[in-house]
This record gives sequence, structure tokens and C-alpha cells, in this order.
Amino acid sequence: MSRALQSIGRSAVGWLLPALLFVGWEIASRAGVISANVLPAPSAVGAAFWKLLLSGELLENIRISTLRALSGFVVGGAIGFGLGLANGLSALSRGLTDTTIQMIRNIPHLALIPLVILWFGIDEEAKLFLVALGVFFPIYINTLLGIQGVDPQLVEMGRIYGMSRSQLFMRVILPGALPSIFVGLRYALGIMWLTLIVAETISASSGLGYMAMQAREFLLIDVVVLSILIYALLGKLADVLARSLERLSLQWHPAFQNV
Amino acid sequence: MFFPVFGVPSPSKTGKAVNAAVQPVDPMAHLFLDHVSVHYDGQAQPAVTQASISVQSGDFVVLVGRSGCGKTTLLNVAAGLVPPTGGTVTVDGKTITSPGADRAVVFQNDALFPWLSVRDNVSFALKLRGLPQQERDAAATRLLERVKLDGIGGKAIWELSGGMRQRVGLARALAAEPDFLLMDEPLGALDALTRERMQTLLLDIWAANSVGVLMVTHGIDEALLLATRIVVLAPGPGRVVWEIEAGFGRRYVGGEPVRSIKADPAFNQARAELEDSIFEGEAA
Repeated sequence: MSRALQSIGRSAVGWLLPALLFVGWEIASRAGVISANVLPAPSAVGAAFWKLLLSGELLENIRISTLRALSGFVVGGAIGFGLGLANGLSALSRGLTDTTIQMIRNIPHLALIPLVILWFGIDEEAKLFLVALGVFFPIYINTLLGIQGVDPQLVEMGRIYGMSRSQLFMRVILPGALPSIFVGLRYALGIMWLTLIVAETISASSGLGYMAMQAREFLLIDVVVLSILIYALLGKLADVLARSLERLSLQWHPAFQNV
Repeated sequence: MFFPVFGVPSPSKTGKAVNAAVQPVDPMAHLFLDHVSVHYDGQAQPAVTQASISVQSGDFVVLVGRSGCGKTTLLNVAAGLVPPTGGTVTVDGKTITSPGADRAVVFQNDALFPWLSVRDNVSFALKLRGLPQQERDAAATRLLERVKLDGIGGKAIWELSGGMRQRVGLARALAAEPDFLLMDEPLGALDALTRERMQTLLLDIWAANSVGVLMVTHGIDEALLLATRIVVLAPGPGRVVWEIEAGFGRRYVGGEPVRSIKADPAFNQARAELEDSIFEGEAA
């Protein structure tokens, strides 16, 4: 009971600063310190939120953006994870592909936007491609690092037990690499939102980024601010989900003890 | 080769008597490294050349020697982890080429799976054999009692001290009921006090399970106290230079306290001779 309260208290502490910022912001706006043309008051943003919520526009845009983000994540993450595994387990595969991957990695993937627009127009493929590309690298690199970092003596122990290759992978290599894979996952989720929002801002006809750009055209600054706040919340939500997943699967790890 | 005898007037006889008293009737198993050489790729010198070591059930063979003499290589050859480039390794006459359940290995670094509980680490070999959970847990409880770690089966590995981890590793090695226990400096990472306790625990376990032990150590006292036979290796290239029978461990198993064994002048003399043989020929 008291432990549950403590845990709620601990997570509540993190929200203290944002709440204070909001209160200060509201007070400053009402006092006229911040002009509504520069930054509308939280209450105005709240009103915009309510209006867009009732019209269904907001939820529809969030749904579209989330769907895009997740499909790009699944495609890029799966390829990154697969290649990370292959290159971690096989020197041949690593020799063949790693140089190429490292070269591509050093191109900022958002720099490809002009090319992507030429290739795909502003269709779904453009967003999918960019998100997948952005998500690919953190997942790939951390999967590869995780596998290369598995204690060789644990692998030797597995051999002593006479494990088959698949047993060795499932029971030793994968659990050993998991902490690093989760680091990649959390990075990837951040990049996923970032890429999508940028892509939607530049070329889209729906989604959160598009909503923000439309609002800019019509000088609806409260909607612009609302969009930005929603990015922050969605990013935080993705991180919380990743961390709970991490906590669940890494219960054995000393860094994840709820002591 | 010269085979002096340390510790007791007639260790082989004493040994048989002790073995008969503590061991159930068990077919003798024989692990034999026959003129084993190992030459790693790209190395100028072989790591080990023409080394012959024999371990039978009830033997406690200890490998000692300066760094680079190939102790660990020989242990890995016996485990089946490193293929010999010359000579053969046989168990009961059959050449072995890979690790097997008959030879359990304990490393200096405990090499426990950190994502499994103590219980699941101990019974891991049984899981791979497909034993049901209930039997595995019962076996784990029994094995943990044998290494004097009752009641910690549910703990995570990171909660344990170094000595406890090594004991869990030992319990895990015993789970598969191996004929041979191969240990690479199993006590090397422990503090002196824990180390002494682990030494007697090793002797207790060795006496209670009809296993043949092959162990690598840097500790001269440890080698003398535990071994029934000490194999001295020298580097450059790694080779066997001396083999000595010893009986101090059997005296402990027979009931003599360690303190009284170590106070025996014969122990000190044996230590001096062993030191000489290890450091013989070392450039001053």
C-alpha cells in the first residue's frame, strides 16, 4: 500500500515542473506579459483542444499519424533487427553489409526529403520510407552491439551444455542482447516521431504535422501550440510504453529492480 | 619421469581406502589427454606441446604453473572446447571432439545466466534434457543444499556474493551428474577467507560424488591441499615438467582438520619443493 503510494508519488514528482510551467504561463498570459499573438494562454490552447476534439479532427489526425508512425516503425525496426541479428551472428553477413550500412547511416535521413518527394510524391510511401529509414539505424546498431557484447563465456557455457544453434540463440544470445536492444528501441521511438512530424510538416494532406502547418497558414497559433504539446505527450507515451516493456522483460537485470 | 609422494606415507593405499568408504559402487571413468599439442593459428609457439594427463574417477588432479604455460588451454581441450592440433583426448577409450554432459565445467568467472533465477541456473542442464518443472525444482533444492546454499533458489544472480555465485556454479555443474568436473581457477576471484571455505567444500563434494576432478589454480597451497596429483607445467612452449602425488586432501576427507594438515611440516616441505619445481628455469 505505502509502496504503491510511494511509486505514484515518484512518478507525480516528474509532472510537477510541467504543471508549474503551465500555471506560470497562464498567469503571464493573463497579466499581458505574453502577447496572445506570440503564445496563447494554456486556457486558449485548451479551448482549441476541446473544439478540435469535438469536431473529430484531432482524433482523426492523431490516428493517421500514429498509424503512419507505427507502420514505419514496424518496417524499419524489423529490417534493422533482422540485419542486426544477421550481422551479429555471421561475420560473412557483417563483412558484406556493414560498410554500406555505415555509409548510409551518416547521411541525415531528413536530408532525403526532397528526393523522397520526387520518388513518392506526398503519398503514404514517402512517410513510411522516411520513418522506416530513421528507425532502422538505432535498432540495427544496438541489436548488433548487444549480440557482440554477450559474454563469450556464457556462449561457451551453452556449448558445454551441448545446446543446438537455435537453443544457443534463444536461451543465451537473445536474452544477453536484450538490454542493448531495448536501448535501441527507445532511441528509435524518439526518432520515429521526429521523422514523422517533419515529414508531415513538409509534405502531407493529413496528420498532426499537417494540422499544425494548416493552422500556421490561418494564423491559428493556439492550434500550432496544441500540436506541439501533443507531440510532447505522444513522445512521452511512447517512452513510457517502451520502459514498461523493458522493465517487464529485464526483471533479472539489477538496473530494473523496484527496490 | 620422477614421481615423488607428498603428504602421507602411502597415498595410493590411503586413497583407495577412503574412496571405498565414501563412494558408491560406480564404474570407473577415465579421461585421458594423450600427448596433446595445441598450436593456435598465428602463434609462433604452440600453447601446449605433448602433454599427457590422466584423470580417473576419484582423482583430484590439479594443474599448476606460471602464466602462459597452457593450463587453461589443456582444461579447454579436456572440456572439448578447443580441438587439439596433435594427440588425442579420450573418455573411456573413446575419442572426444566436443563438449559433453559427462564433463562439467566451472569457470573462474561464474558464467551464470543472469536472466535466470538461482534455481533455474542450477537446473538448466535438466531443462535441456526435458525434465518437468517439478522434478527440476526438487533437484535444484537438493543441489543447493549440497553446496550449502539452502533456501536461495528464488534469488536473482545479482543478489549473490562472489562466493555464493561460485557455489551456484558448482551446483549447476553437478546437476548433470558428470563423471568429471573441470574447473578453471574456480576460486581465483574470491577473497582469502571465502576461498578457504570453498576449498573444503570442494573436497567435501569431491569425496561425496565419485567424480574425477581436473582443476587449474595459481594457488600453491590450494593445489597441495586439494590434489591427489599435481601436474606442474612450464611455459615456452607449455609442457608437463613434473607430476607429484599428494595426499593432504584425502587426510581432510578422512577427518583431519585443515589447520592441522597445514601445520604438518610435511606440508611446508612439499610447498617448498612444489614452488621450486614451478619456478625452476625461470629467468632471474
